[in-house]
Amino acid sequence: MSIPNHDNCDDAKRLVPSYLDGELSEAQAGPLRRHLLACSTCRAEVQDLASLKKWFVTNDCGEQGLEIPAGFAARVTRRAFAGERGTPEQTERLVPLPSASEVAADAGESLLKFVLQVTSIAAALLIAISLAMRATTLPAGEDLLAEESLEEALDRLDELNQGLETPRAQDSGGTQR
Amino acid sequence: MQQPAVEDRKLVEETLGGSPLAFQLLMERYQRRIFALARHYTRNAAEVEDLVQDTFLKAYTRLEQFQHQSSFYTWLYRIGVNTCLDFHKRRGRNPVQAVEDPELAAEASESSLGRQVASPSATLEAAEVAEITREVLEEMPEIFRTVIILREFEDLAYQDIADALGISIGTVESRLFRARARFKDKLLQKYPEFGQD
Repeated sequence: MSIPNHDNCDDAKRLVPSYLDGELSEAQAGPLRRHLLACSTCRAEVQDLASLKKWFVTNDCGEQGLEIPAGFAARVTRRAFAGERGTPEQTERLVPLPSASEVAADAGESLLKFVLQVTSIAAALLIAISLAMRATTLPAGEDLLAEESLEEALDRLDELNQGLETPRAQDSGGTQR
Repeated sequence: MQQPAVEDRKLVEETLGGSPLAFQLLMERYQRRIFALARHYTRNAAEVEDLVQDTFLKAYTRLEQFQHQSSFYTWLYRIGVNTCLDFHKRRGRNPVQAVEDPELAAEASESSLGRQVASPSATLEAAEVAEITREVLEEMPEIFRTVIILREFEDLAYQDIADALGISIGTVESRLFRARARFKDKLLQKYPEFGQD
């Protein structure tokens, strides 16, 4: 528990229950006490909780006043060694009692979960990288557009064809001769 | 909750080795505390006895699983708390679903907001105060009732409550805070005369 700034009433009020329960170290309680001396609002908070705690009394006279049936431990021990197991628990989820095997199983399960998480993150990264690479190496839409129009291209093709036909015509004329 | 851990360890080992006497000695060492715990959950002497017996029978059955990571008493106490909570569940009191809802206490009743609770008046007998307190606690969800029992009546430190309930100290603090607020709220709802503005 960190030592908060006790000039702040919120911090002080947060520590009041632990203070009254005797759970604060002197290093934490000292500044709180100084704040309480200066702050009547927080002192009222302490007073309220202190009054509430006075309600927590029982009719019983404590452990020493308990009457334990004679021979109780011996009787229960006999039953335990005879194989009685007690009522099966239903509140495992409320107050779990992990066994060694459960702890080991939990550890295995969390390792598997960790491996699966790492694998899925790696897969997602690979997909993202491959998509990024594909995007940079493939020609983009504008690159695919020809700079010259179709008509210009056809004209240039015609010129090329004519250039090819002229020597061919000369060649054929020569032969005729 | 400082216990002679070495002796407990020896008695546990001897019990596991088949010594009924060792288990009986362990029982005799801690039965009084488990009786005191069980008595917070029922006033019927026979039921208290059943709860304590059940706790020790379960402890014996699971003794091989005890890893000595906590003290034997903390481990035993945890079984005792579970046994008491099961007892209430079987009785149909405070359904566990409602108890398990962590937001259960988040809603603060308007009725006690801004009001302070007065100390029990001097004219009230201790027995009357105890009866009123029991009555109010009876109406609280187990999750809050138990933390109040462990702190206010059993006088356990936060760490011991955390160990017994298998929760963190932070959770103990917040649960206690909510439990006390709930107790105050219910007390002032039922007995507005104990409030002061």
